[in-house]
Amino acid sequence: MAIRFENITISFKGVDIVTDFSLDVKKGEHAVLTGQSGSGKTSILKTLTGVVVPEKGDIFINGIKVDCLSVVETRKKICYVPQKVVFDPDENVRDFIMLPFSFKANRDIVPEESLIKKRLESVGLETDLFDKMMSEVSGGQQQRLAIVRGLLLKREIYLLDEITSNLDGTNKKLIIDIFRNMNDVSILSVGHDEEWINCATRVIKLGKGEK
Amino acid sequence: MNTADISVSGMIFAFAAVAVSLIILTNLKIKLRKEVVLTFARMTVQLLLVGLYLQVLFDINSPFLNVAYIFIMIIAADYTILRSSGFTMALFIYTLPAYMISITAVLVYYMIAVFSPDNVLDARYIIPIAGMLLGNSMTRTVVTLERFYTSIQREYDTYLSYLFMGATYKEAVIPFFRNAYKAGLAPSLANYAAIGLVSLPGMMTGQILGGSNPMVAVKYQIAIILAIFAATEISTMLALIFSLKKGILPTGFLNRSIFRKARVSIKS
Repeated sequence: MAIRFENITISFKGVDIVTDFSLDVKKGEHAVLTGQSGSGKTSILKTLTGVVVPEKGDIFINGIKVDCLSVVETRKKICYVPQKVVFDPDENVRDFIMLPFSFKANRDIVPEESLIKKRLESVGLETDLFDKMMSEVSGGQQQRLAIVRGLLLKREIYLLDEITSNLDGTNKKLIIDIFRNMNDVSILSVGHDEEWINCATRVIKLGKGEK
Repeated sequence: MNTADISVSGMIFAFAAVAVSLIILTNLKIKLRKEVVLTFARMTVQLLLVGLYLQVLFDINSPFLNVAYIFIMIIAADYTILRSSGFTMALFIYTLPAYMISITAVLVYYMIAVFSPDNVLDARYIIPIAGMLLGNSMTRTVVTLERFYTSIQREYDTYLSYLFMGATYKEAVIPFFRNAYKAGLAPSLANYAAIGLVSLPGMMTGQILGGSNPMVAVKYQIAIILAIFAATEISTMLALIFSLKKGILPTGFLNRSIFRKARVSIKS
């Protein structure tokens, strides 16, 4: 089992936003969390990174319980792509893509330029973007660059938080096709978009404070 | 040549500066009048006590007492500056070794290689020099620490994104570290660049008032500024490194318990 949530409850300022939530996501599965705003979708996603700590219940990644002792290690198996892309205003596209490969943990998987270009093309981006500043490219391009960077990290688990929210129809389809064909990873995503929900293997609808 | 003494009435007139500040604070409705009065009252009492103590210390001139006095000065200064900063005292034991190491290293180097008095532990030299190193390096160190941790707090999503891409916390803090250090260094350099043009340093002025040859006073001042610069850079760097033990949790997340809640309030 790649990801397992066992009866987790998440509280914020004393109010339970997720109660008794359980879910298993196996390798090759894509589970999408959907539901109204405030139902705790993103919080569930963030419990896997350690940023959000559940009030009750346990979370496991590949059988290892996620807690303050293991979170640094389990984080290395995860790629988290947030809805809002964060970048240094002084960095260009090349710096943005290569940033994670400057970290010791990723030095063995530094991608070749040909692979980066292939990935850029696969999400509908021009390869001559490299020297442009991140602040100069559009929100949709920033989103796709964040996805490309995540894909190049080759993680076992992908946590995707509304990653198609800034994309138009054609580019959205390209992204959906990429994740639909990734059969050797586990994906847990948050999404409202119908096409995105349809590409998942499982759909979990959340209500406020409910499972 | 002896410096002309200041009479009691002269000292009272000197405190007019506090009255000016109190008038400004009253007009601006800033609730800091008590702090201003207490700060200068405290400063006066401290300096008078230091004056009395230094007199005794200079008369005895024991190397052991001189060194002990410097260490006590470092501990007291670390405690005082942290109390007035945005941090809780949790960082005290992490900033203290940074000051101890930097002040000791710079003091030993400059006393032996630069000032070279007959007795390197002479109270007349090491106590005022250590005081100047300490006073200048501490302010910059705490300002840099505040800038470092508040920038992580402000750009927490960016910081977390580094962690989630596989960075260790030591790798993730590097850009914040660099920016805080750079931001602290720039105003210091601007201050140093203005010395002699728009300001005359206190020590040099004091030496000249005390009857020293201006060129000797200038040489001492240059050496002291360079010593302050070295002590400041070392203490800032070490304090940033040592503070990570407390400021960043083992999970890589920011330890928000190091921040104190804002104490200054302004009347609306």
